[in-house]
Amino acid sequence: MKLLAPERRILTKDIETPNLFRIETYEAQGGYQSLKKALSLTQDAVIEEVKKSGLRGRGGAGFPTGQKWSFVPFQSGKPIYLLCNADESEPGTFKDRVILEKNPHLLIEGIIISSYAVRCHKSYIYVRGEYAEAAKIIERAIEEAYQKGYLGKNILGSNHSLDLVLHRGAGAYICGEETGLISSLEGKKGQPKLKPPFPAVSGFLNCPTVVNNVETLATIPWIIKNGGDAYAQYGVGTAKGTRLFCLSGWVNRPGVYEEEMGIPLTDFIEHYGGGMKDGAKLKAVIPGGSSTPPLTPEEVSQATLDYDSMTKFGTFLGSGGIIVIPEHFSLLLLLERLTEFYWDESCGQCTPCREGTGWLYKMMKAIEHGKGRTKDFEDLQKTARSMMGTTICALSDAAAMPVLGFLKKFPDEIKAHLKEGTEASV
Amino acid sequence: MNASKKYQLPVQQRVYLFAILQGMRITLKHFFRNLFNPKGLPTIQYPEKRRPYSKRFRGLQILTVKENGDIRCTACMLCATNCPAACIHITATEHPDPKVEKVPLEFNIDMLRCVFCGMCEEACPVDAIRMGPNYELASFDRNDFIYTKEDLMRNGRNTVSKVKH
Amino acid sequence: MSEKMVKLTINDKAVEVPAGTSVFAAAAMAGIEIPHYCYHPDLSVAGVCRMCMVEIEKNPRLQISCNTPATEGMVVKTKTDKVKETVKNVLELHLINHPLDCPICDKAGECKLQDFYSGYGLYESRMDYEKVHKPKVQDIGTIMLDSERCILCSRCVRFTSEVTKTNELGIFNRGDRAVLGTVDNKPLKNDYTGNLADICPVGALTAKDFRFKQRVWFLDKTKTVCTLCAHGCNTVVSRNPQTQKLFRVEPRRNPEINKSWICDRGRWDFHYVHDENRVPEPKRFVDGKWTEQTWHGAFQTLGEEITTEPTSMLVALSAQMTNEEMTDAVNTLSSLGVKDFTWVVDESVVSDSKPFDGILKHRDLTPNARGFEMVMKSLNISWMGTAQAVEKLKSKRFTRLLVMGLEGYEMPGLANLLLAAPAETKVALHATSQTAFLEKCDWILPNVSAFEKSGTLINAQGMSQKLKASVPKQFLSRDGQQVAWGLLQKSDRKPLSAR
Repeated sequence: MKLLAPERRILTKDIETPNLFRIETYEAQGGYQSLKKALSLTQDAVIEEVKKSGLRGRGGAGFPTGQKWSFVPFQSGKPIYLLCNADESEPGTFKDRVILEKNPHLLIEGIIISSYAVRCHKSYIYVRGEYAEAAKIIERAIEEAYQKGYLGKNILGSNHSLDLVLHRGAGAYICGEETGLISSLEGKKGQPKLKPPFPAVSGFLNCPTVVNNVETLATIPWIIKNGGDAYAQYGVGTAKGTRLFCLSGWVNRPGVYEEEMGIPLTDFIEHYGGGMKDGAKLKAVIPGGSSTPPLTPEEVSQATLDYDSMTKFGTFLGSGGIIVIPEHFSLLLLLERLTEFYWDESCGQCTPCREGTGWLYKMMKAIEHGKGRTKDFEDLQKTARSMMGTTICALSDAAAMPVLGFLKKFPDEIKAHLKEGTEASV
Repeated sequence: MNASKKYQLPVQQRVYLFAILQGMRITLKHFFRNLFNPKGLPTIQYPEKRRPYSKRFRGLQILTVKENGDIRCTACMLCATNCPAACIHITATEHPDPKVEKVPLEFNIDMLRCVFCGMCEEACPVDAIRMGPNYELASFDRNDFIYTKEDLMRNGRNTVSKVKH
Repeated sequence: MSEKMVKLTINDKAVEVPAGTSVFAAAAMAGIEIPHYCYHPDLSVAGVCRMCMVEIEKNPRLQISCNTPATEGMVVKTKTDKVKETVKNVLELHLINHPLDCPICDKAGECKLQDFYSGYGLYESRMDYEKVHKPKVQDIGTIMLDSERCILCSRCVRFTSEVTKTNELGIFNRGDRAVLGTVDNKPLKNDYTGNLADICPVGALTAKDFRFKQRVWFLDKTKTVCTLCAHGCNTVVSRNPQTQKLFRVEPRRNPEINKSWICDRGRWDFHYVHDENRVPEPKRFVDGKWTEQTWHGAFQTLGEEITTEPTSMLVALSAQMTNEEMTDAVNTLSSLGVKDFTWVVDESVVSDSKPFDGILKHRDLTPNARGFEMVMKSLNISWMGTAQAVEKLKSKRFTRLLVMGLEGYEMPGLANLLLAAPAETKVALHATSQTAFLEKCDWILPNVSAFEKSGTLINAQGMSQKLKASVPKQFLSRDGQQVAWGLLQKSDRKPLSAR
């Protein structure tokens, strides 16, 4: 399969334009034209267009966006909220930051169009606490949009009004989960909420709420401008369009690259990453952020960057954070670090996650420090399995999946560090 | 009514002497055996001498202590619960150290009721109560048979329990 | 049936429940127990313990039953191998950081961790790393908090936010560092703190009053009703059958009256039953000092006095008496010729039918004011209000006053009545405990407490409920029925109607 030509890019075609974050530059690039077009359409037509595009949520779960929007009960009489999830915290993922910092008006335009589609008049951008620079840029972009009349009452003379507020998180991973984000935005402890009721019916302040990822919303203007069918031309099968992939790890050119879905993973690493650094041998690739199970070199050579291919190899495309691990890197250290991350970030609400993440970390720490016992291998697997699918949100699964994945695909390396014996120590 | 003839014992039985000698034979055998072999004497000179008992003998209970001398018992009442004679009476109280939390204020065993079955020892989760070797429990006053916490700790001469739990 | 009903199948059992009922509640209605910690029928759903997992047909993932609404045609299974395995695993995770100090823990014996461990677990602990340590033995008012035992089910947090609306408790920090606590360790400040110890499924919250007093398996339980105010909360009273002493009062769930709660007063005020202030035997004030009397003597003397001059006698019945006691007292005394009856109650608050704090507490501290009104009405005997009684006592209309059925220390309306009686009025008091007005009295007869008698009470909402004796009669006390029949017979033979 051919790689995406730079001029066919959807999100990052003009990203290198200087001062793109200024509204003048953005308008000169043809910005806010999609908004005008959208406002001339009916709201249902906008949703229809998005449905046609086959756009799926870019946050990690991959839920079809148009379908999500159509779940909202428009006639409930309650205000409807559109929340932009910019709490990008998955290790290995840094794609939203590019849009937030370089092209904030693309996001704002996407939000306005989406808010028009879902009949929302108040929208929030929940930006990750650590993205201070991005928050500043967005703040200014919102101000500019207000001045130009893209935000506020009767946008561009239409009946649609929208207030957009930036909210900075305090740095919790779990606030990137949609109900966790809602709790946090409501001023509560950032803990995911039970479903049902689903946010589309009862979310932020018990009102219908749509939560979309930055990349998802930033794609909307292009879809409106060029039509859903045009978007569906990109990609393969159920994986339509392009995605921002975050390439990190032991490659020559790590970074964010837009690419059409469905291209071979090896090609992607070779072409964009410039191959392995120092000619190191590939050991494993984490394809979709730290919570997805890894791929072995053999699987990497067969895998393509789309949902179905990843499912075939027992992993997920997730948030598009591709982490390349070289031969000389210790998987034990990696797993210790990952389990520590999830132990630290568990909200502590559900027992399996609260206790399980701590236990996984204790075991990985002991193994990494050379104190692992053969029984720990089975214990790790059993504990991780107990954590799968037993909690409110997916953090427990996210913590368990990499452990299970690495144990399954790289058992020898881990077993080599385990000793017979029973003495436990941390 | 005089139908039955009076039964006459045979001569050797009427004399008795033979039977007496026969009976004395065992006594005399032991008498002479003990006379010439005092080491094999089955009777011992209690209380100067005492018979050795099995280590598993179940006598008066011992309450063990921790290494710092505090009572081991946590007043969980499992011994009292399992006691078939209902002879253990515990009153629990709060210990100032939150790591200890609960200690017995009173721990009384009514040894007149105790059947020395050892169930208390079996039930104890922290090795706080053991069946001791002491069986000399005589007294002139019934009240003396209520053994208190202090009595039972003294009975074990402050045995330190090192069992971890 | 205006509500929409849905039919579903749980473990091959057909169940019909109102629409919107959770699968958990539906299973409970069908008598199927699902293990749980965080679910409580009178609190909102938290869904955090992850124990109530069930298998629902056509759903590949197990679902928590507490937050899954029952739908038409749903097929639920709660005992499949998959469910059992999952529950076992979740239970294991509950236990890995639990201190397992059951010998010390007061909850042992009624602890849900112990119960479900026996039902689902029974494995050796795989976890041999150092457990997470959290603060133990924290004093938060009437309750002791042990964060290490806590499984963070958040029932208590929801209780303080939803029932008492005082929000003292919260879960601080996150992950396995999360601890339950109050802000700055301030003590709990509401009148329902005791319920926290009940709803805690483990031994994290224990009531100071009951702490270390008894192991729960020594206790016998009696289902009865609280008599400390007009609300008539349903309770369970525990006594040790060996010592016949009361140890604790707990709420009994009744969705129409008290849900699952009782107030702290109802819970901890039972101590007067074994108090040294109880009246042990009948006493008479003769020649400047109290002398002990027999019941026979009391009945003879008092009965004779009543018979000779029945109209100079005012009989005041405490609204703490049961319907049966009142009926017998009024019947026997009026057959002796007594015409004037009144009640001992705070009349200004009797008409309140709703708790004043919006939860359970009533201003009327007597349990049976409604019962008194109904008994008098059914017997067709007129009675005077307290104001009139006070007026007539002051005007020396009566030379004798018999007050029956007093209980406890708080006897609303009694002070009014006794203070109104002139010094020469002869007063006989039938009470459990010695009051401040003893110098006004000539006779004091020991009454039984509400924990020692059975009968019917009618609460403020007009519901009649059964009171059941939970401990034997203390000292030489007699209930109202025995006193009534004794006075009629003027002797201490076994009264006809009483046991």
